[in-house]
Amino acid sequence: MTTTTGTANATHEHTGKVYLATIVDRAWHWIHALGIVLLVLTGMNIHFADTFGVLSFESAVELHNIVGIVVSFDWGLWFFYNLFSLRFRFYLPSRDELPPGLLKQAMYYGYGIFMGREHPFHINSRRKFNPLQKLSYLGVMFVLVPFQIVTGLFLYSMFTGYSVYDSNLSMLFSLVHYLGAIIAACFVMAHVYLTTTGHQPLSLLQFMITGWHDDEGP
Amino acid sequence: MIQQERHLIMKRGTPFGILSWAFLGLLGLGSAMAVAAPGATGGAQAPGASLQQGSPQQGSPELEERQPEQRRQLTGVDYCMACHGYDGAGDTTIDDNGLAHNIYVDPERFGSSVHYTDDLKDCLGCHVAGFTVFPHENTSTKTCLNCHEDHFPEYEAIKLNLEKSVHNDNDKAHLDCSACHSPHAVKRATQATPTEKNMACIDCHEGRFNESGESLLERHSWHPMAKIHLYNLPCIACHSQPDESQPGQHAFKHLITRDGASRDCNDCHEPSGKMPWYLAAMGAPPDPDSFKNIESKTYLTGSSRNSLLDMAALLLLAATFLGCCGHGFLRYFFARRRAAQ
Ligand code: HEM
Ligand code: HEM
Repeated sequence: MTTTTGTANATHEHTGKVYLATIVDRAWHWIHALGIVLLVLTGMNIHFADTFGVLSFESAVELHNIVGIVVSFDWGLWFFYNLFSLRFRFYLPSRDELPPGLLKQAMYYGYGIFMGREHPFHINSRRKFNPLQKLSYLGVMFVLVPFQIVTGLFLYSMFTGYSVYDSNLSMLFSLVHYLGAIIAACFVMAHVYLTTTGHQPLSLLQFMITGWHDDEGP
Repeated sequence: MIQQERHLIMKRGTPFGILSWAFLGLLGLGSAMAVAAPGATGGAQAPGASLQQGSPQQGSPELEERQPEQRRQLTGVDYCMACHGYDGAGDTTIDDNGLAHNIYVDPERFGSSVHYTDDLKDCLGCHVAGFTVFPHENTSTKTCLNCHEDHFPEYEAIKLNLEKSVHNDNDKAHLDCSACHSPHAVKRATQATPTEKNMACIDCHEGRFNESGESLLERHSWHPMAKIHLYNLPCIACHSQPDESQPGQHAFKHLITRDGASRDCNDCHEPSGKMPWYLAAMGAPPDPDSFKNIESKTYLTGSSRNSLLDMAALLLLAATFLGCCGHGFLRYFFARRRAAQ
């Protein structure tokens, strides 16, 4: 893909690059990316055991549980790293961003991006994400992933015999775990797509690999 | 069930688990000794223990001519078992219905069948004529309805289903009840284990009437949980379809073949699936409220699904995917247009 999209012919001057994704940021993120894609796939293999049988049911369950535990620890890495390094400030929307900033960003995705307008929010050492990113990353990392981890670990504890098996509870928890998985799958698709909306289609991917964001601006 | 089984396996490894297994083992040993003890009550006695208690038969004139002690000897189960309980005995002639005539009677299965335990500890009770001469000739044997006249209406209902089933609906065989439900192994549905029930099918379909030559497990290997289902469920759970107009035990008598049998988890595991019907046929009352109770007990992660929910989920996934593709396409389209201007 060589066609430039987004802000390609915008008038804005890029002042340079800014280092925003530390090695820990990138490590937890890519473990998460691989892990959650695997969890969605093995989870679907468990759920649609009769039609989506890439792995046998047993191996799908085994892989799902192993990856599930890796992702649980990885979430812990994200949480404590951001807590102690005070990087949670990047995720917290400021008062004037909610809701006007959200609207501005949504308008950009729904209209401006097609017209070749420039990004409404530029990135700098104080701002890593636009308001929409902040909100969706908060939702995913503070609500969805912990929810999947809690319900998943609960199911896991029943199947290992750590807590008593109860099919009523199992029904409830697998149901909500399944609903969470569908939302997670939708997030991953939309997220991967939105990574192409940077300055160049691949520039956000480069950012998450090198750590340097190329859209520095006020 | 899957999880329950896994759960049990895990428990076996724990100290508590080992203790409880040891306890169960002791209990089993104790009860086995109690049953084996002379004069024990309650436990079913094996054919060997109950000799010499038959009564002279009205319907067998040859017997009338013999001495009393000779008569008694000839009616004992063990006497017949000397030949028929020998597992080298087997298929002899081919009967009119297309089936091999098998003269072997498994002493263990007969010993635990209701025709043995419920007082009929006597071969000549059913084999009424021709069996006290060797080789047997001009024989006459009672049929089910000779004794169970009171079940005639049920029999008629079952017969209607039998006529629709593959066992009667083809040109190879026309089976009657006893072809599958051996009178030498009958048990109440609620008492027979799945393995015992499946013997009715396996007796033929693992041997003479296995057209593909593959083992049962091979033939069911398409199933994601083949072993667990094959070894724990009755064949008819999949190879029959309940008919709502015939609740209870008749529901599963309409057998269906490989091509007709369901391959869809939801067919059983969905709340409206047929598992509750099956459980109802096994003794649970067939009223809708009790189904609700059964539903929640048969829930399995993965295999229990709701097709409406799955449809909604797949629609949401497809919408997200198409939304991304559409947005991307529009971006590309407008960028091309701008470049052209
Ligand atoms: C975003 C993360 C996750 C996704 C997308 C996901 C997805 C799924 C899906 C779709 C199922 C099948 C549910 C059903 O059909 O009823 C499932 C089952 C399950 N998941 Fe997850 N899951 C995730 C995280 C976890 C985690 C962190 C664990 C913890 C170890 C876990 C443990 C389980 C267990 C134990 C089951 C039941 C299946 C079995 O083992 O038999 N999951 N998951
Ligand atoms: C194949 C899968 C994935 C790809 C290619 C991918 C790619 C990216 C890229 C390029 C960025 C930087 C863009 C930006 O600044 O917003 C990013 C950021 C981020 N992604 Fe992903 N991602 C994937 C999966 C996931 C998953 C599964 C999650 C969480 C469940 C996730 C959570 C995040 C978060 C929270 C950020 C912000 C990172 C930070 O704090 O520095 N990503 N991702």
